[in-house]
Amino acid sequence: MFIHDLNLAFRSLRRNPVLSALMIAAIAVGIAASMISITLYHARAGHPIPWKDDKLFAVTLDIRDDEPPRSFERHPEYPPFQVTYQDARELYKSDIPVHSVVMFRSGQVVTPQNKGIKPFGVSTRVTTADFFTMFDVPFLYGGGWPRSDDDAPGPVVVLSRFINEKIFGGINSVGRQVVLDGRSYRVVGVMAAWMPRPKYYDLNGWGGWEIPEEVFIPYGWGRALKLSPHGNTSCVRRNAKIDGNDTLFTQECVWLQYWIEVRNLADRDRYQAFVDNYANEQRKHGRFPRKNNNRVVNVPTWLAMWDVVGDDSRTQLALGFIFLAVCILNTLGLMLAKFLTAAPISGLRRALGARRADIIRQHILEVIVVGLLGGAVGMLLTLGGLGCLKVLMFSGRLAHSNNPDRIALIQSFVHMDIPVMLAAIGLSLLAGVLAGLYPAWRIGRLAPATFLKTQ
Amino acid sequence: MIEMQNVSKVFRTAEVQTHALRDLTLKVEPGEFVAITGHSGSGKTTFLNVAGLLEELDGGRYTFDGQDVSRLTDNQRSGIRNEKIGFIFQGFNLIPDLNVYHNVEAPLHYRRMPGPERHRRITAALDRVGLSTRMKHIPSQLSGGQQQRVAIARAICGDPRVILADEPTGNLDTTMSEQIMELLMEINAAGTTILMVTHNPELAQRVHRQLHIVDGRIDQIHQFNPLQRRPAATSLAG
Amino acid sequence: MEIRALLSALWRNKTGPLLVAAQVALTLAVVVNMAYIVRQKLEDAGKPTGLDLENIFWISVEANSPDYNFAAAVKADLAYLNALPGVVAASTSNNVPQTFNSSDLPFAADPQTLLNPNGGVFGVLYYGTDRLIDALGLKLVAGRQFSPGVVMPPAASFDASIARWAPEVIVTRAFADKVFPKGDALGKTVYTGLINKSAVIVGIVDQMRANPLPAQYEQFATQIVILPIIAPGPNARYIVRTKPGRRDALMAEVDKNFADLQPGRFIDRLEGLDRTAEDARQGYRATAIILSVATCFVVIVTIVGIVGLAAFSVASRTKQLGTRRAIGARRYHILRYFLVENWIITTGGVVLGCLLALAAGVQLSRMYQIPQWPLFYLVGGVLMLWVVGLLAVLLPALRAASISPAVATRTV
Repeated sequence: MFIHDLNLAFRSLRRNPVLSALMIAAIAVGIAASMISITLYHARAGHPIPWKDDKLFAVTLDIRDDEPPRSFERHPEYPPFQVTYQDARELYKSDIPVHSVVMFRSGQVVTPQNKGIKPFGVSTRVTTADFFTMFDVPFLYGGGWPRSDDDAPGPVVVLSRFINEKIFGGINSVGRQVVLDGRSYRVVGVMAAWMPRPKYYDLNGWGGWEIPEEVFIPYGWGRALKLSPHGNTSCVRRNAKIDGNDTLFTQECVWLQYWIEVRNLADRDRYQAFVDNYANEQRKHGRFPRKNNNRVVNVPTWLAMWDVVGDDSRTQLALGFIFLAVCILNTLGLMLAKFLTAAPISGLRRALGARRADIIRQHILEVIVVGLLGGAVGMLLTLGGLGCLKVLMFSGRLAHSNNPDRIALIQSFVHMDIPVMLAAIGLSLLAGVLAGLYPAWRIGRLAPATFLKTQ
Repeated sequence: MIEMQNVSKVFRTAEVQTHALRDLTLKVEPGEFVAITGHSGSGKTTFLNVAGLLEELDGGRYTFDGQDVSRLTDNQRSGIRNEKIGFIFQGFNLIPDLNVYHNVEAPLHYRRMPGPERHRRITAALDRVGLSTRMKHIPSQLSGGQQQRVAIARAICGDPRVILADEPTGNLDTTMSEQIMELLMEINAAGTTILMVTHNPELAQRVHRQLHIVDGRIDQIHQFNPLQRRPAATSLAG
Repeated sequence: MEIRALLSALWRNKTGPLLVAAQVALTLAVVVNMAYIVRQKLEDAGKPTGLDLENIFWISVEANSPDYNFAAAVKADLAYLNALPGVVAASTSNNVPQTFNSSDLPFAADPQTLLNPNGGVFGVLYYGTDRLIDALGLKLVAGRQFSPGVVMPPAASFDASIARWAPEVIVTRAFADKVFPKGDALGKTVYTGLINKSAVIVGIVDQMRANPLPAQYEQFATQIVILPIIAPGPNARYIVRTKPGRRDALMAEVDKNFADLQPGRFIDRLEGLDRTAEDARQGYRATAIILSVATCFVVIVTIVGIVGLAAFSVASRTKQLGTRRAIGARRYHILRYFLVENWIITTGGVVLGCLLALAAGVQLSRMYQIPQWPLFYLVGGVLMLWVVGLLAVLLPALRAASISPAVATRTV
């Protein structure tokens, strides 16, 4: 029965090739448009560490002057996303979190021992020890360093997989020495491939669309070497004074990222209370002029506050769906026209004994075939479109890139992963059914005798 | 009213040439009610098309209401059809999406006629065919006989000189056929020339003359009820 | 024209027309809003930079030795670069324009303003030698350039540099007019917050756009303060402007020889500034292209829908059209009927589309923080859809008009 219906469906499509082609093309184009926008959106809307939604929190303090917002501020109600050096030091003393991290990004020059390799610049994360456990960083060899190395600071370094390959050819380099900015550090760990999308722990720079840093050294080196932060630095109070003497370490300037990991939400609330109390104490010394607006937020909230997804992705997503809607309406109209024109044949079949349900079923099957064919063509169009987009959006960045991790990151923007592909199949089925339900019902409803006149 | 001399009509395709009408000569006087008979394929429909200016003729001469209409442009023919000819079709040919009123109104839109006059003519025509109470109905809500009467109203509301009817009772039962025939005879009695194509020999005998077409030309002419000359016909225009 | 009959016939058979009207409505909403967004993007990307992009290249140098003598290196480097035949001017710079790296400070005409809430005007800082203005290709419209003696040698750190400041500054006209609205900025002293220093405005340049920023960040693009300071090391950026046509050869030469002029350093990046500017705009251009292409396709799909409905309408009404001709319709009556019917359907869609367009417009302008599109976008969209609808239905309508009146008497 099913094979017979399928046969009928294909024959019906073949009978009017232009119309069938138009319907399939309309669905294909609609599917492609919505799939491309879903892929792009999905790439940006990823949540990199969902299992720590209740444990991992970014800490922000509102130390701003009590002034009206500036015209260009999109969310003046949010506190600054980073903290000052002195606040970080004080917060670090709390024992409520299981782990805490203070960190920033900088840049250094690696001078490989192997004279054959020229010196090159790397991005450096200057961080306290808990970074690796908090953010679930995978290791190929070795691991991080103990908290004591933060204070000393210990001359230790963790390498990314790519840097380890570049310097040491990928071997287990734990214990070997690496020269950064002329100073020697001992390798204590080599990371495995790690690409949190987005780079949620520090959204400076490309808004989170950057690969993780290439080397990691203990936090104490920041002050010891006066490493300059490669990120947003903002002196948020009017009474801040830049005087060349360790401004970043003494003034009300925010430049450090601060994260905590707690056992459960109850501890998060305790920590919030701790932060607010700290603010209240500082207020007595003339700091924290505003009412408490200190936010301890989990990763999804953090990503939303930073608006990682972006307006353009949202616009494109909406456009994709509107496009699909127009295509479905289009196919609906074409399908209706086709079915009504072919009504006499259905009438004949009904006269020969087909039930109304049979007619409806046969038409729905034809509609589903159109939907699936349209979906298949749409997938091809989607892949082609994503390829074009990769060139369109990223050709500049790709050209600069010699780092395979960065290239992989860019590829991932236009990569359709399994969930998205399944969504495509589902969408094309849905599109077909939506486009065909009403026409099939209309046909089934008509009395067979209507079509059997000689008129 | 209608005078054809040696009219011919040829249909050409890539392979064949069909002489649908050949050397057809006839004359219809004003006020006559003429029946056209013939087997399928004899050329009845083509004759009606040519007579009604629905198609051009290929050869010969056609004089309609004193005017030579043999070689007119499409617009000119349409104009004459609009103002001087009324059509009645076997399948009624009503516009299914319009109600009775709008169906009857249709031809009046194609000539310049102010709204009030249109309304007057439509109501008069519907009154004449006895369907004034059904003005808002759509064709699917009417019986076959009622639909044909609407078609007749449409044909007469423009006050035509000639009515061309193509098997007007072909799709109707005997009762309805009788009603339609009566109506047509009344209209003819009021002065309108009628040419009616029909299969039905009984109907054919109730008219003034019967023309039998065979292979595209007039074969026989029967006079049943010769037309008596009458004074100027009353028209619907009033 | 039988409008009432046309409308009642249309209403009795409304499914197809409603589908087309819905497509038209969505298409209008899309066309109006996307045209506006695309225009914004292209505008943001297309604003002139005021820089001589094609003739400028920049070098980023990084030191890899702790013994690197930055001060001496800078001096030698600048001498070398400025002496190259074909070079118009070379200078250091703390940031390269069009790379989205920038720093800014608040400025005011008097120190009291800086203490007020939101007091002060932001100025984006660029510092280099006395040749920086020429190296960027900026046009001086008032005052003078820096004198060589005023250039501050490199300090120990970025903060120290800033804190030491300089006695003179050159600013863009946009900055000058903001701080001194009366237009008398030249020669005046301008005060800087956070460092509590001041300097005299000795020159005003016409315009410069530091980075392609969206409109609400305009001040961070155009309000620029240029200082005669050599940024601290050990890494340096040089901006080099060449005579027209000489840039590629000079870039190749510098790439080969520059690093080796001093031991202990390497070239991290060497790039033409036009390339940098292009890359900076890639996001805008890409989005503009994506949205434009998608919108075009939406319009095409709707055209197909209109043509489809019209073709079906003609094909399913063949008998009716023949009958109309038989009872006296001319060809142009039929043509007119279809054009009017199509126009009514399109206009129904347009009316709904205006509401949708407005709703979407409010949403978008809230999201992008731009003003709502001006009315002529909507008018243009409506006109476009009317024209498109008319053209789409033309062929089927002409086909309908050519149906022979003899169709009326056919019995099949």
